[in-house]
Amino acid sequence: MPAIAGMVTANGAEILLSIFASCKAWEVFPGKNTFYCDGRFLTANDKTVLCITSTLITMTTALFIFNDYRATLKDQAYGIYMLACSLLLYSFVMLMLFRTSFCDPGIIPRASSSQSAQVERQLIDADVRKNGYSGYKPPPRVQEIEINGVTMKQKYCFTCKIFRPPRSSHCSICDNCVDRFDHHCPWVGNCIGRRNYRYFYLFLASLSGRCLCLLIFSCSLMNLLILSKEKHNGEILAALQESWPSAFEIFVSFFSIWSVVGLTCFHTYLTSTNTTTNEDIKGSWKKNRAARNPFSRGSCLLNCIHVLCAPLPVRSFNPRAPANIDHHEIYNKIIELRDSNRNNRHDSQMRV
Amino acid sequence: MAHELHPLDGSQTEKYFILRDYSINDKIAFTFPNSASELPVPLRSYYTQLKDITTQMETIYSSAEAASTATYCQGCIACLTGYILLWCINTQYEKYQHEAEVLLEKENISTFKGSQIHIRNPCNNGLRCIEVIYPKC
Repeated sequence: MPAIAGMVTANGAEILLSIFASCKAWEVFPGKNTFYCDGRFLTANDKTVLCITSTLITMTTALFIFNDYRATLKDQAYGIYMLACSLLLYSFVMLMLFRTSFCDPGIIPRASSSQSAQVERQLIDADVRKNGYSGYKPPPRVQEIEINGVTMKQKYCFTCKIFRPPRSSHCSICDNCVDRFDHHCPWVGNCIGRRNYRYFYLFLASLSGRCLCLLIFSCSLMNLLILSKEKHNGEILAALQESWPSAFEIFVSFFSIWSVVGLTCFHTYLTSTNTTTNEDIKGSWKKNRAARNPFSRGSCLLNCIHVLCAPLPVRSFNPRAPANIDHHEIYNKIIELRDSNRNNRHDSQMRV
Repeated sequence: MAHELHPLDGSQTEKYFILRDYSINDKIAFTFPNSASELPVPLRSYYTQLKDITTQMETIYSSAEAASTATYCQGCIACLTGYILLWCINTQYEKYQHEAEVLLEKENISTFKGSQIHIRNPCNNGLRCIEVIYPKC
């Protein structure tokens, strides 16, 4: 269903209308995200660390193929299978990385101007009924709701002007409320939320496996090289100098293993208890606060299956739909576009 | 289809929001008023139809989010193919969302034809509320 088109009646609004008619929602999106391919993919604004991650993974795989495979496995019977496995693992890791980075994590669209005004009106009316006087009061920060018998606080987001759904949180880096917000990961250049958590987890798990395999292989190769009597006979430095790609692989794998394997174990724990990083940091379900997790399915296995294989929700925010101007920030952006358009037209007329 | 003037230009439409009820984790529910008098005046004559549509939305989206053995199997197989399977088939959620869109389009055209009432898909705001747009009287 396309968003409702806006009509304006003010004089000289034909420019505004022509801009608005061609404006897609992603072009006037109020959050801090970058869109690609006409709004089909998005990431956070900072993409440099994502480039570093992809480069490191690709470089170590390339070094493995052009150095280790050529030196040792090429002439072996099982060499071709090892090559196929390493390429398959590399493709899986990169596919999961790109899915995590470019997928909408579950962004909750901001409330329209009319909805935020109505929320405030309803709260003022409730206030008048309760206290007998009227006066502007901003919405309360928190309202209590009960889910599956557990009382939770629903916070009001002053940026998005909504009472946040349970488990969602506002990401200050991307400036969006994200459903089932886990954390903002700079290494993948995106928030981790409901829609891309499973890709993130599989990325971590496959990357751990890949790093471990790479480390073991490079170490054993280096070991063979050092011990080989014809060449180095126990001299480590000479061996490192000769096979610097293996040394580089060992270096990268060794240091990334600590973080990647550690994170994988942590997220396995979170998945088995159906908790997010955000909830774990805040201690939302800690036993001493007498709150149990109302979202837990009962057992670790059920939680894991549910988190990783449950139905994937569709995007709430449709970036390629026409822009809905019933939102003051979007309206302001369109005014900006109109004014810059007007200045461009004025400049081009001046030049003529 | 109702056209909406921008609020700063003098709006000709009003909106009523049927808010989400989060109390049951597995089920999508909306808090619909118990009697027609709680609705705005232009919507009171459509109380039954609006209640019907709300109930149907609840059923459709609860089914969309329902996790069964078949759904888990679909998820597992998709994972094993590196999620390339998702490019080839429609997921459960997409099927039900399409069903909701078709239903709303039909209702907006047939039931609310003369009154210029328009109901927006709750999926567009993250299932927080159902927006009912009606002309200002």
